Amino acid sequence: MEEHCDFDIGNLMCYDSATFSTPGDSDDVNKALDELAAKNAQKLVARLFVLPTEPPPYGNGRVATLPEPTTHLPREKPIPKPREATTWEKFAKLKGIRKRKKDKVAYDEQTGEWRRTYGYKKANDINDTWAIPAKAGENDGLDPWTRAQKEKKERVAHNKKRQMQNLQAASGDRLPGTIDLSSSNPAMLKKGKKKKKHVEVALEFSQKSTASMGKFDNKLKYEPEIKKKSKPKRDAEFQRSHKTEKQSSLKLLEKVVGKEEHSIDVNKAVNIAQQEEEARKRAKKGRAGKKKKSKQ
Amino acid sequence: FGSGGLAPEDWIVALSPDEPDVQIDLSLSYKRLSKGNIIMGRKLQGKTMPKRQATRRALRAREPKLVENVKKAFFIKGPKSSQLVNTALKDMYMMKKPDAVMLNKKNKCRPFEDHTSLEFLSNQMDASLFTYGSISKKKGHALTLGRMFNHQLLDMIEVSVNVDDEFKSISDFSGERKKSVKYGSKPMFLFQGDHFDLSEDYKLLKSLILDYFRGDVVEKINLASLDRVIVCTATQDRVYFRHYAVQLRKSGTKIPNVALDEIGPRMNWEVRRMKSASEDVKKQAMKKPRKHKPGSKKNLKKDVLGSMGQLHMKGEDTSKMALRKFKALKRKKPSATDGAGEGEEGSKRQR
Repeated sequence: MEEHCDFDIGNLMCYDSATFSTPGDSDDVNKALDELAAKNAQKLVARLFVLPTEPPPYGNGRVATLPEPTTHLPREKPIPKPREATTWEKFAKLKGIRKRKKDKVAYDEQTGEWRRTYGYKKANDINDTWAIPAKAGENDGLDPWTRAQKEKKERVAHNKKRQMQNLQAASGDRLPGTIDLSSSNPAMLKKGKKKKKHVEVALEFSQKSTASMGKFDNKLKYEPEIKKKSKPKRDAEFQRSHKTEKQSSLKLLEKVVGKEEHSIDVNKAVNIAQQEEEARKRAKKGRAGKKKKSKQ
Repeated sequence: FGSGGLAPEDWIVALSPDEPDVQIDLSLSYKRLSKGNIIMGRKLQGKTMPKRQATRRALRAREPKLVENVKKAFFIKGPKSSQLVNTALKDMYMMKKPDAVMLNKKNKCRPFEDHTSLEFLSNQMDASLFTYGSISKKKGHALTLGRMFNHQLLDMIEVSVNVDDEFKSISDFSGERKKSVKYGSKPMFLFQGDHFDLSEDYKLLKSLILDYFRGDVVEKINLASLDRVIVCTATQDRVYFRHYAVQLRKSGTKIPNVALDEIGPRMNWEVRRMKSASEDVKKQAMKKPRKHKPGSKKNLKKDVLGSMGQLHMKGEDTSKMALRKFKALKRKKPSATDGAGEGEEGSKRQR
């Protein structure tokens, strides 16, 4: 009888492939079924009780370690796609940075007790220290408590911004593998820091890339307005008054030549200096004699 | 249980069946953002992110996972139903509990003609198994057992119940042994008869019964908790469904003696119709998640003190490395050509 039986211990299942012959009477059928079931159940239990066991964490009985189920049943839902790593996760993987578990309590030196690391009455709170020695390099004119507050705000804002970007990236806003269209606009390249994302740049381009510059196109629900180019400055220049033009010209001149803050007449100053010098010399020559004077 | 703990406005928005492929990554935290930022406000991928943490938790529980939740079943009645069918449904619901939902009202739904309402309910309750009960002149008292993949019909089988007038509900069996069976215990399975291998509908039935009642897939099980067994016996025209309580009696050996006591329901089934899964959906459903194979560790030697490996380095240019600099190494050695002059100067300096 054993040869007919297949066992899937992981599912607590036994499959007896021997043909079941139905006896004539209905009562006999149930009896026959009961008998067969008892036989096969005994076989299955025998297989289960030879598994490696260990004592349970609490209560009675023995805990047996089951093997993996062999019968492959269909899944309920599709296999999930792995989540794309965030910017930090990618960086950490590259550098080999591992997560360190933080303790919930830390030792507070001032009070000499163990306190929580964050929240109410946290350990080593800057607001508990009444005097902090100033470091040589700090010139921002803030006291350390205000500085700590400010830095925290900055950190929070930075983290929020990063999280927003991560959400955007996860929802597919950052499209890997597509052409970075920001390179097509030379003005963007020159600036150095990319303020706009390439998708936004691409959107701007595509919005205007019709014959009528996107004026009559139907917009999507959340599509931003088409940015209008501001008129060039040249037109404004020609419309200025005589006075303003004069002022602006003078301004330009100042930039080139320099401002007359300490206006010294250089020629005059030189002449005066020369006269003084000559007067000194004459005085000297006068003492010396007439000979030298005749030579001149 | 019914709506899975979601507020009506939340699940209507979040679980629209017309967009099954669009998923919101709920592992990311939700931040309440300014009104101006439409893309990042509450709408992600055109769907509204739920406001309440409880809703998000409930949605996270319904997400596709590598290791799946226990399959839930819902029990539904057709436009016409008999007391026998109702009892059968109720009995199966009790067997399937706690991962089961019983729907009490009659539904204008015929699975083999139109299964969209079943798919809707499956989505609503996050239940991928169903049993539909009805009565008709042709088939008599009939049950349709089926399952879903991604809340879309995978396969189902229709069986006539009360064949040979053999139907006994749980309540018809005496009370003694029933009490020993614990609520939510994992049953053992016995499939008997070679027809489970021979015909396609019996194969499907076997797969369905196993899927239905096996519960959680566990690594470890307390042997004292083996208290029930589901037995399905197949002949050419019948499937005998029986459910017993198991009593493990001490024998002289390690292996106990098994005594079975029927607790019901007792059903004789006759397979009527079957709808098997389409090939592409079946392929997707039967996919196994990739198991991470531990990479072979090369270049690893172990000795008493520990493990070690050999470092293979490229040649390094010491002149380009940031090493400690020694002044003695900086001083140039006097060369032959300008040796005389320099030497004199040098000696002068020393003085």
